[in-house]
Amino acid sequence: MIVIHTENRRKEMKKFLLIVIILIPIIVTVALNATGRLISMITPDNPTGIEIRSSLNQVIEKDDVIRVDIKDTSEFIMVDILPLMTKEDGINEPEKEENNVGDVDLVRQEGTNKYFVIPKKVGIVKIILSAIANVNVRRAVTFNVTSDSIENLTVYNSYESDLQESENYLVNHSQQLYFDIFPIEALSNNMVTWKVSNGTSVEITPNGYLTIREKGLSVIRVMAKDRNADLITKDIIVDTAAAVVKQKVGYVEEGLASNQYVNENFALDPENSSTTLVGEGVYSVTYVDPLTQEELSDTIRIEEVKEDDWDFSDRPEILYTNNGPHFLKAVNLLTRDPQEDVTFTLDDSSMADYENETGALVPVKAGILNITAKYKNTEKSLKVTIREKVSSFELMLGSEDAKLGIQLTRKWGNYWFDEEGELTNKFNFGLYNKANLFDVVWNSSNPDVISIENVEGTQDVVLTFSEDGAGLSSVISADLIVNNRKVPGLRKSFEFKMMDTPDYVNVYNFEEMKELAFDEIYNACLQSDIMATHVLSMNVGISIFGNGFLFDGSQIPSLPLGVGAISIFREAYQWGRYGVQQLEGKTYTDTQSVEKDLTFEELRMSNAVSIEESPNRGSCFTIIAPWKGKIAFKYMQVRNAERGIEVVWAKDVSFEGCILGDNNTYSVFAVYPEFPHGAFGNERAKLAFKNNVIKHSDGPGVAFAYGNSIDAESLAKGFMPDILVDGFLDIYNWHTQESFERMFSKIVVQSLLAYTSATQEAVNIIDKMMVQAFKDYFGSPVLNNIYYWKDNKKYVSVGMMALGAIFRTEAEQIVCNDPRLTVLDVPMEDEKGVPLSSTVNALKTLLKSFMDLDKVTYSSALVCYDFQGGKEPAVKPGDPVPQDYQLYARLTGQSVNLYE
Amino acid sequence: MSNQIGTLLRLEFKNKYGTYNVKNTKSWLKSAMYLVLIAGAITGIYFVAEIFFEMFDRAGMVYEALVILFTAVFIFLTFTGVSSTSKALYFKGDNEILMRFPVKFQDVFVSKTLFLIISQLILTVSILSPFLVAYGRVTEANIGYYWRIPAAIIFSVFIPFLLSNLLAIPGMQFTNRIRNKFALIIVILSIVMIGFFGAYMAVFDKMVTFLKNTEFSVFSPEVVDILKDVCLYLIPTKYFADILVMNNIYLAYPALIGLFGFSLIGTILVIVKLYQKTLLGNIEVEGSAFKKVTKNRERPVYISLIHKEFLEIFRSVNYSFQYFVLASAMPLMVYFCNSITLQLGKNEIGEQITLGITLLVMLIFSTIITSFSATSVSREGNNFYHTKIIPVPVEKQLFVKFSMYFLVSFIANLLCVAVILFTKQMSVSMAFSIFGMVQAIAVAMTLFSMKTDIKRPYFNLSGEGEIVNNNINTSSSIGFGLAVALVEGITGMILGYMVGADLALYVCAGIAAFLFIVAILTYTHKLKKQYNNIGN
Repeated sequence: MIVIHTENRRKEMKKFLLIVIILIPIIVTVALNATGRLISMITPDNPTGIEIRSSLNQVIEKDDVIRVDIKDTSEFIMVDILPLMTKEDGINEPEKEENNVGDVDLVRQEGTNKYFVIPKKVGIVKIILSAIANVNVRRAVTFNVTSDSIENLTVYNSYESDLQESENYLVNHSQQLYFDIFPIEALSNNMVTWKVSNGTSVEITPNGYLTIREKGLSVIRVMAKDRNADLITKDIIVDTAAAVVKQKVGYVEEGLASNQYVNENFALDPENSSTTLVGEGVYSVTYVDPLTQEELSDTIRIEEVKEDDWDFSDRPEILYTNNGPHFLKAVNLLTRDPQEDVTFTLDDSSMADYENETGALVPVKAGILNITAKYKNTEKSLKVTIREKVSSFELMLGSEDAKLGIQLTRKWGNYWFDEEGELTNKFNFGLYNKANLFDVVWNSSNPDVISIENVEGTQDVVLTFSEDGAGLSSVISADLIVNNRKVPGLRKSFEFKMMDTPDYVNVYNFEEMKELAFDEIYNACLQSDIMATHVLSMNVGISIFGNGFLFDGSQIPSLPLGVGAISIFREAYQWGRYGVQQLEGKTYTDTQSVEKDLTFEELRMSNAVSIEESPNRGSCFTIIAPWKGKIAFKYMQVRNAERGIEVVWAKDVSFEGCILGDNNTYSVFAVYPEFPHGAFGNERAKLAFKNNVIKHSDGPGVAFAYGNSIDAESLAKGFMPDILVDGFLDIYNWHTQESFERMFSKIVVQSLLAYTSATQEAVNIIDKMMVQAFKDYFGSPVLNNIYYWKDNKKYVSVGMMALGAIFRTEAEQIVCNDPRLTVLDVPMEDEKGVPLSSTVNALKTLLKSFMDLDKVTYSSALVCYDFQGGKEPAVKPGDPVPQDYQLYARLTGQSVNLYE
Repeated sequence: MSNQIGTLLRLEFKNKYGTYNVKNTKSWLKSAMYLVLIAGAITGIYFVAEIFFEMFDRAGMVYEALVILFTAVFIFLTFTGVSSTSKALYFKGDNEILMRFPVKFQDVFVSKTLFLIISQLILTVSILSPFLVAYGRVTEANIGYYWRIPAAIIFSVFIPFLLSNLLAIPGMQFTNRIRNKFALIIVILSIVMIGFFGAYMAVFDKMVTFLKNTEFSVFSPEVVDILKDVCLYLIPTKYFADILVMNNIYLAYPALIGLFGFSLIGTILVIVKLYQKTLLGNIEVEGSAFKKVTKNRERPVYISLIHKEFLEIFRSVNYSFQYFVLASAMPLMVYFCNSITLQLGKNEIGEQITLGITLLVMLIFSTIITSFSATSVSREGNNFYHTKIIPVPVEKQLFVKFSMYFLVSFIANLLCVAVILFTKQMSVSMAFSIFGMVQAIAVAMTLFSMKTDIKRPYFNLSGEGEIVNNNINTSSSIGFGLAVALVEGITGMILGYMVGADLALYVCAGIAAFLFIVAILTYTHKLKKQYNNIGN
């Protein structure tokens, strides 16, 4: 069909295309917002960072400092939890660093992400913010609370000593004195100067250079005017009694330099002094006290100059920004009279501000500054290094990096991998800012643990870790240095707490973990989140200290049931059975008899992005057949897996301080052979729990199961280990009757599949049959004691469970010291041996026929809250799991205040 | 006003807006629909205007914002005024027809001028009013401010109009000089396009940032100082703002009245002396005629046809803009858009959306370019039947067209990816994966658009025969392209976040491959038959 344009309506193509182009960013932005909302609706909050903006809408970086006046209460910051689609976008109560000089409070404006900064004390203050949705998401922000009043004026010398007003300062020779004004921002218009307020024994330049005129006492004064127009002074009494010469460098007219001349003009007491030439231009002056006959000597360097020679009055080698002005002045070298009509120019005016009228030079940025003084046809140049006196600085690792995991600590191994993949006990450390604009001096509080070597040309250091430091710690600190003096209040530290044994290696990525898994000699101490690309498979196993970091198995392509993101198979045949990728070049043998204790601590693990993707995502941990040695799980958080932690035929296992939940079936699945069994030396296995929390899962938090031959003799022996529940066990895993029935069915089906193979269709059919069967079974009045009634609904508290039926569970093996809990028998028959439902009866008949077993109706065992006799459970259905800080405090036994 | 002027004026309105019959329900419905659309547009403009002024008010520059607004409107109205005046007074095709009728030049001129003034008035009121009302709301202006708005609008209409009349003839002479400098035109238009889009994205970014957090000024103190200084020298447009806010009115009013007087006198002189002469001169000159002697070169069939396709676009300002200019500007426009939306996306959702959002941006821009192929057959115009009789198979002719579209989109997409890589917006492997997907979808969209045009072409047999009006083929091509871009982009973002970039890449590549295959199958199905059916 053809359409011929005859109308002339103005729907011009160009305008149309321009309108579309204008709409493009709007379309993209709307699509972005919609996507963000959609994602936030279907996924749980997963904050990844905190962005802080100043009141000028500038993003605050790690080493930025926000300046706030002590009187200004209108300053604010904006705190955004990233990604912005995070629903819970609040922050916990800010933590303040211990070394803070100043102080501020943050007050949130209700309903916004705006926080007013309320200054309380002048000085630098660093606070750490953490996200409510994830306490391990932390950011530090530093404020510099300034004032218009000078709070402190300090005088110090080149030897780092602060001079006190109350003590006489013994001056033996001419020297440079310095002042330190706090806060420097309060200094008004560079108005600071030195003078001799009393006495005649000394002279002092406006830049603080002290020269001696005669023996005796004088008072020197440094004065500074602040923005409130207050004059702050500091007086120092100087005593030149012990001085011998007037100055260390003297100028003499050409041809006049001689011992006598020097003695007469530069010795403080020429009559009792003698002078000799000891080197080129260097004279030694010896003074003998006429009363005590004590001899004192000093040297002076004499330079011969012409009558009209002049130079800079002071030749500083180094100046500092934010440290007051330096006054440029030229003097006649012989007379020390000011040289008039000298002009000063800077080669780079961006490095310093120069005021011609006052001669004040105020350094602005670090670098090399060349100053040229010109008088008539002569020029003198002065090269000055400008360094920064920063108001604050950061180390590569700050206090926000020191408190991680449930215990809010951070530990370090003795070793790292270097660039060649070899182990080294050296670690490059330093400042966050690598621009080398200011000077610091490093210190190790415990050099036997960590020693320090400076890296030339930088402010970085190399830390060497000693194996003798295992279990100890050392604080590595850096102090800002100005004029060789540590600036008070400007110290940054980081404490390196060492692992208890020296065989830990710090790892930052999955490749490094693979290296350790290959040799299985050293243990791993995580210093970063690890993204696993395939199963980390080991033969004997290594211990892992996670520091609260995440071992993320969500990118592992396949995690079948029974395989963990971290798998330790001590039985050689297990490798082939599960088809787990073996490390190239590694020899796998049977290591069941290897005695090695393993500890997995402070590790967060996840096998999927969300719990919705957790079905068929294996385990986070699978450990099979460690018959000797202890396996300890401490302060672990495992989630988003089919089964959280699977331990099979492990003789001695313990869980302490763990958060177990958010998994598709169990969070702990412990499998045992019949008792007694030769593998365990005919001893009963041990399984201990102390101070753990069980959050919601689709199955029991902890399940005990039998894992060996299905024959009457073995089954009749029982399999349960000695189970001890010590401390507390908080169970948040409440199920309705319906979901409990489904859960039970799922467990039975999974147990059956462990011993038989079936198609998915068959599994689905069996599952449906089981759900119906268990509906009848769990409706029996004999089982009423397992239900808690709330709002006319039945709930089951599913903490720990051992499935009966053909498996002989022994509830008496479970010792529970948490008085809030009880161990319930969940029978399949009544007291007279009659099955509780027809389905159980049918099942009994079926199993006896096909499996030739004597008893197929063993009771199941259930560890749950005790609500018998009208008692109320400590945690009721629907009670929210505490916010992370409260939870952490409970697990570690610390006060919540520690976390807040 | 004489009858003739009134008749000519009615003719102008009919040409622009079509016929309207009070007794026809359709006309009523159409009018109602237009009114609703206009009301919606004005509401939208008011909303944007509020944000605009609040943004500047936060930075303490609300007066400067008003000056900037008037400056932008003044420049826009002057330039569009020059263009519309040139077209309406000098280049309109109906001048040829009117020449033959007993109408006076003066009547023609008056009717056209009246039409331009009324159109300009409607446009200016529609755009300026919501802005000025929004300013009044943001600054809590008193009632006197609202009474002064008509004065500002009247000055804003007449002064640019009169200036554009003064500039129309020199403007025409300039365009006549460069009329055959096609490459130069493309370069100039590309630079203008990139500059316009870059400025637009900068303002857009500020406004989105402001919307996210109205506590802040989005301007740094340095920018505030610069803008304040610049606005002091924006004469005469700052006087429009001054008469509204009663600032320096003893200078503003005389300046504006003087400018009005000067431009009026100038316009009258230009029209009296030059209008008829210029009009006649333009009628004698065909629209795009120029003389260039070229050699007859024998080329292979394929190359000849590609050459013809290229020249057809290259030598047309309209087509050049629709195609080459946008394709040339695309890499930088993608860069501007991507850099801002990528940052927005990373803050809003996370790093995982990089794939999705880059895909979305590139596909949207690619859609604009490939929409040109929706007029591949329609553009033949009067020459369409020629394509049926030349001894080249239809499939080959269409393949030639496709080749050119493919080549241009390939180069444009490749340059986009190069810019993205150079500016480190993403990794090499991901960038090339995105290139593959975008190119596959560009091919698919091209084939879909070409097939749509073959099924239902829109030929323009009047005037110069160029497709300057939008038609349903182009609209549907763009609409479909946007839908595909949104599906791919949102899929990429969601999957990238939930299951990782690798799987997201596979799924998006799968969608692209599916569209590619479907497009080829659809295109080749009954191609020759449908082409031959055109005109039968």
